[in-house]
Amino acid sequence: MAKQVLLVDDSEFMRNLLREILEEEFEIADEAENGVEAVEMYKEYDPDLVMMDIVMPIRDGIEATADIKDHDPSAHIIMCTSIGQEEKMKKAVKAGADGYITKPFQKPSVMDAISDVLAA
Amino acid sequence: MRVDLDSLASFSHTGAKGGRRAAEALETLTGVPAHCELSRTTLVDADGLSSFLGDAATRIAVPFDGALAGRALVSFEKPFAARVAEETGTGDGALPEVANILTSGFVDGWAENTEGTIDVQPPEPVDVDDALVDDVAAADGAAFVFESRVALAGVDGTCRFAVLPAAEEFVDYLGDDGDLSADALAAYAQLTAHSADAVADHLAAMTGIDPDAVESHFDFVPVEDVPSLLDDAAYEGAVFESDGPVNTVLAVLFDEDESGAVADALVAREDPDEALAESAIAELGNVTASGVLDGWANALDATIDVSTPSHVRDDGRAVLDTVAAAYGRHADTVAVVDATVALSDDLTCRVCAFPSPEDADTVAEIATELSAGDADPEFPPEYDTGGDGA
Repeated sequence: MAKQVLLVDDSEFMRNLLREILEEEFEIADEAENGVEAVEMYKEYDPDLVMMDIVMPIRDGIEATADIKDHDPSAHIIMCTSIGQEEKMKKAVKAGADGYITKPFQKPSVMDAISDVLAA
Repeated sequence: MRVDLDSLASFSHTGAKGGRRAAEALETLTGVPAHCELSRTTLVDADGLSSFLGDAATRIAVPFDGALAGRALVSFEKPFAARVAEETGTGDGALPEVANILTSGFVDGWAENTEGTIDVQPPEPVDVDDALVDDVAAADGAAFVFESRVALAGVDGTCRFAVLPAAEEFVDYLGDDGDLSADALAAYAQLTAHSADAVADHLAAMTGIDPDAVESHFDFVPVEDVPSLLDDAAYEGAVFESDGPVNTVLAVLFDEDESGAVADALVAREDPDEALAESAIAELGNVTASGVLDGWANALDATIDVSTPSHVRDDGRAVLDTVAAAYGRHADTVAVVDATVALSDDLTCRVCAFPSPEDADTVAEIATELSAGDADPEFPPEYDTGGDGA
């Protein structure tokens, strides 16, 4: 049975891109456009993995990651972000991120990051 | 290597004043209402100077020497040159004299500032193949240019007036002012080049298209001239605001006619709906803007937060009107990191970053760090997935 992935990004384009990359090997549980939706959907679907953008309206990805980890410390969350700032990444790690990929990304880097996180 | 941007702003004021004088002189000469639509003081990478100055139908150089030496390069677009020839009744022969008058009007302002005299030499036609970087203020790889664009009412095209002070004399001139130095000015050019490279790299990675050309320059612009940095053409793209040690407005813009090409490069499916195409362009802007600001943040070992993108589709001046309105309350001159990346003959991306004038010291710190090569070029580092995530 394919593992479930929750896609979280305010960009429809990026959600589509991730869906196209992942849907051959994973089941896409749902798509969230902000951090609030992400937490609600996580509680609803209990997915195996969350692909989380950082900069989003309403509630950002770092706050949502912290909320999800509070709810489920075993959650697997990969930050998918255009931000390549070292200090920002440290904040994401502190919030509970298990891995990250930096936009723009190609399929191999996405799959490598997922393999690393799910195998850990 | 800190630079007092207020000092650079004073150079910008002199340039703006010279531009207004040039417009007044042109109006007197032709009888056609003239105005200076853009004046800016620009630091440009010396290798990119020829591209920055561009091509024009007619170009005339006017050397000057005295308290400050160098030359003005006056470029006339065809409709502009034709109207001047018509109004003066002397054909193209009038253009050297127009160049001479414009230059005299400009350097008068310099002369007043230096409390000396500047002598204007006879104008000389310039071939496009001339080595434009000769004798300009290219110190540590950066050239210093004062530019004004003068327009005539009801006439297409402009007269682009660029003053390029000679390197040795200009550095001597800067040496009299403790706030400015050639290497400090070069640092700003390097900050801009670094940002432009980030733009090019991220655009290439997102679109799969290798850039044909990358141009960049660092401008100091009177706030009322900010909208004139872009033309009246329609642009589509995204505007961001950053928050942190540097508050910045950053616009990533594509020509409206080319926006379909951008979406096509990003979206695999044929004829993507409008919402998806807008989302793709906004995300391309997001990645590009982050690429620029990441370099700045990492240079400071700090975090710069970026807003979600605001999609824009408007003529260039309208896009930048809001920037001018926002900064007009705080300063009369703003700094602009300006990068243009040509992905193909038909596809060009323009990125303009406007750091808040109140963060001028931090911008100087970033320029210093980037020019020293202290920012980690290998970032982001490999992520250690063995951590506990706590």
